[in-house]
Amino acid sequence: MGNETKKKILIVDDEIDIVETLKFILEDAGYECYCAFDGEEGLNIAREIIPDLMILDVMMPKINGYKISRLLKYDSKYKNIPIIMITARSQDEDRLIGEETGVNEYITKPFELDYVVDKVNDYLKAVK
Amino acid sequence: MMKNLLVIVEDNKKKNLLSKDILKMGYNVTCFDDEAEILKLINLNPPDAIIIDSEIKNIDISLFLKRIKIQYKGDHLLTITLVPNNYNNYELIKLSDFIVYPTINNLLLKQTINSCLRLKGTLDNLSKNNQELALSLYQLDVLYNTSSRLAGTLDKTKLIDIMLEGLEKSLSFQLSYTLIYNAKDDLTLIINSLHPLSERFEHAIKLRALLSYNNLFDKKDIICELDSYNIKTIKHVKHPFNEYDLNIFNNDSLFAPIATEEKFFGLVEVFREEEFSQEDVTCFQTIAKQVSLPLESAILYEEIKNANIRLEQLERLKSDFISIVSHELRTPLTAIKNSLEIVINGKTGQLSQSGYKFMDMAKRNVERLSGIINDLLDLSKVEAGKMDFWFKKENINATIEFVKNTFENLAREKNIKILLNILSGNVELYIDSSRIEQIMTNLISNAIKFTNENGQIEIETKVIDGSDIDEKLLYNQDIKFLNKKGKYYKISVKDNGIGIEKDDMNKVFDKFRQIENSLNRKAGGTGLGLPIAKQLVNAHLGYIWVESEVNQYTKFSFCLPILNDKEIFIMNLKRRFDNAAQNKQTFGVVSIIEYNGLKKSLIDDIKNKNLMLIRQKTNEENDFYFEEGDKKYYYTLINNADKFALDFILKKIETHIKNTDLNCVCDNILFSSILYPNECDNINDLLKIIIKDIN
Repeated sequence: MGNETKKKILIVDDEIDIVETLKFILEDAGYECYCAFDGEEGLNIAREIIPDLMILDVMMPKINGYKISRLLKYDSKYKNIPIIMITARSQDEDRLIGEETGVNEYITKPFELDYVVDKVNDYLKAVK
Repeated sequence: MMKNLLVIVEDNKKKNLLSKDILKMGYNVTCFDDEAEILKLINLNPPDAIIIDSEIKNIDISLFLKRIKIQYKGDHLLTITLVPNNYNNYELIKLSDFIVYPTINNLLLKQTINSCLRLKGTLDNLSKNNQELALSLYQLDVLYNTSSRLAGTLDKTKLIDIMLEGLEKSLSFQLSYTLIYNAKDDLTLIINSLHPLSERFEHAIKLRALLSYNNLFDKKDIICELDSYNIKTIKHVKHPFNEYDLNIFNNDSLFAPIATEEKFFGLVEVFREEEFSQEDVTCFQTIAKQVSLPLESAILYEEIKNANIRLEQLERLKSDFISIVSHELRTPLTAIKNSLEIVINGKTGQLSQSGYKFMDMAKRNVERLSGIINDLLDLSKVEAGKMDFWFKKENINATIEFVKNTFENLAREKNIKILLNILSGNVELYIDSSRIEQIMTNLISNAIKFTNENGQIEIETKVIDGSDIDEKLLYNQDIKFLNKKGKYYKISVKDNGIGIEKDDMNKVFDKFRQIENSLNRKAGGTGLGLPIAKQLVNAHLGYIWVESEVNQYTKFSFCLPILNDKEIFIMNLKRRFDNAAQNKQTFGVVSIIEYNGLKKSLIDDIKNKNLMLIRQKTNEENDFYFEEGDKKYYYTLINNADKFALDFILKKIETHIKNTDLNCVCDNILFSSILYPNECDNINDLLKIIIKDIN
């Protein structure tokens, strides 16, 4: 499989270790991964490369996950990018905000890597 | 003292004779025959008795007597009238207090005058006593009023105000000062005065207060050293005219400490020009004494209140702390867990056998750690009232069976039998089934953990009355909420395992206690499962308890109330109200009550059409319906409500009525709305207002 046919995933999280493990396992699963370590960087890369899917952390410096999600989902150019949100919080109010801002999927820390891969597969197969 | 008699005679001969006779009897005599002069004299110096001749020409005697009677009613001016024989002016006779004929001898006149004076003396005494009695009554009334008002408050400033008001009413003093001891080096001087005070005078009062203070303690056990500069002064002046001079300190004064046997609160002194009577002193002392006791309670109350606030803050801090820490722990934990997973799954290359063993050990412990964090989070959430519950009417038996099935494999590994002995059929309770799952999971996993191989676990359910529950097994705080008349659904999980020591039995539901327990450490787990289960059961208005015999059995039971629609509504109302109060949010209720079993029911219409009156961002049920007798009730609960939202809902109902053919039913419907905290600030009032029609 050549590089150009690989689906692009953008991972945005200020926790480098989380990004690393996610990148490792998703590259292993055959995706091309881009990484950003704060909200602003994430938003810039997203606009530049237009990824096929994004994994976002909620709590990040500069721009938090919800804001990125809202900015992208209200822009017709990016609104079809599936967004998976990772949060340490499991409270329902978070979910409600997430639903409002167009988050497609929620994953609560600590999560199983296999579960993340399964979810990513689900969304990207649907896009195909 | 010589008595003064006023003689009113015209005839000179009579005048001389009379005055001579009366003088002889030992009285002062003044003679007059001009009405104006007479009245002037009476005004200036009222005589002890008046002797008047009925044959006077230039005075209308009847009119004169009437006038005197009215004008000098309180002075008891008695009159003796000299009348001729066969006198028939009965009006005059009626108006006179005594009658004497002119053919009198001196003896008769003397006796008449004497009895007249005696009568006057008695009347004077009577009225003086009456006045004193009235004054005493008034003081007693003030005292009673003051003491009942003192009993009605626990506010320090108010207590002092009530005391001063009481003193002013009962003693009508010109000046008073009250020195209030708040804390060391914190004193307040309250000056109540009729007239304004000069600065110099104010300072003098301060010095006098200090002097009284020092005298009071006689230099022994003095609470704090005072000087006149660390005293705050509050002045109340009644009339902004005149000014006092220091002479007022020479007036009569009363002084009392405000103190109980153990505590000193201050002192009070009042000044007045007129002397204080014995009653005044008693009244003053009583009031000063009566304010001391409530003051002591007030200070205790304040202390308790502050301590309570501190405790609440600590509790919240702890809860916040746990939740923040737990969140912070989750991120590194995730990184560890994910890294381990990658290595264990062989994605970084083949592991040696022992390498795999230790990696697996690390992974197991990470999972254990995340279990502990989840438990801590759950507990802090449920205690802070932040746990989200999705109550619904659901079949609890289905939940129980589901949990039992998930444990089948684990039980089989230890060769433990799980027996299910539950009431057949569909038992609908108002529950959050995911929480019930959590409780059951905890109880069954505990049972498996503490039961030896080949053991047996029995799950049993029963419908019981509230009065069947043994209070001795319940937590003290829970007992008062137990509804003895209500029905409960009881679920028990009994094992024949190692049992629990008697001393440990009442600790199993205490958080953190179990962490110390070595047994638990061996068995793994945080020991937070049972405290969480207790909180979850309590949130369902239920109770959990344990019975056990060492090496025989352990039986955990919990019961959940079987609620009707009205009780479900009240439970939700209370829960939502508490949440709003705790989070300092507003909360609104809109209600519709229909009377007389209407044929076309608005409430039925709303229910059937599922007319969402207001869209809310909650997963909770907001609309409640129930019937009682021939009445139907509908309530909708609104979080973060305001007057506008409530009015909007009422308008919407109105429009709905207009747009449908329900118009005719309006007479038998009652609409209302209520907003917390604007219109009512506690749950009992709220319940009273919106439930009053039910009871």
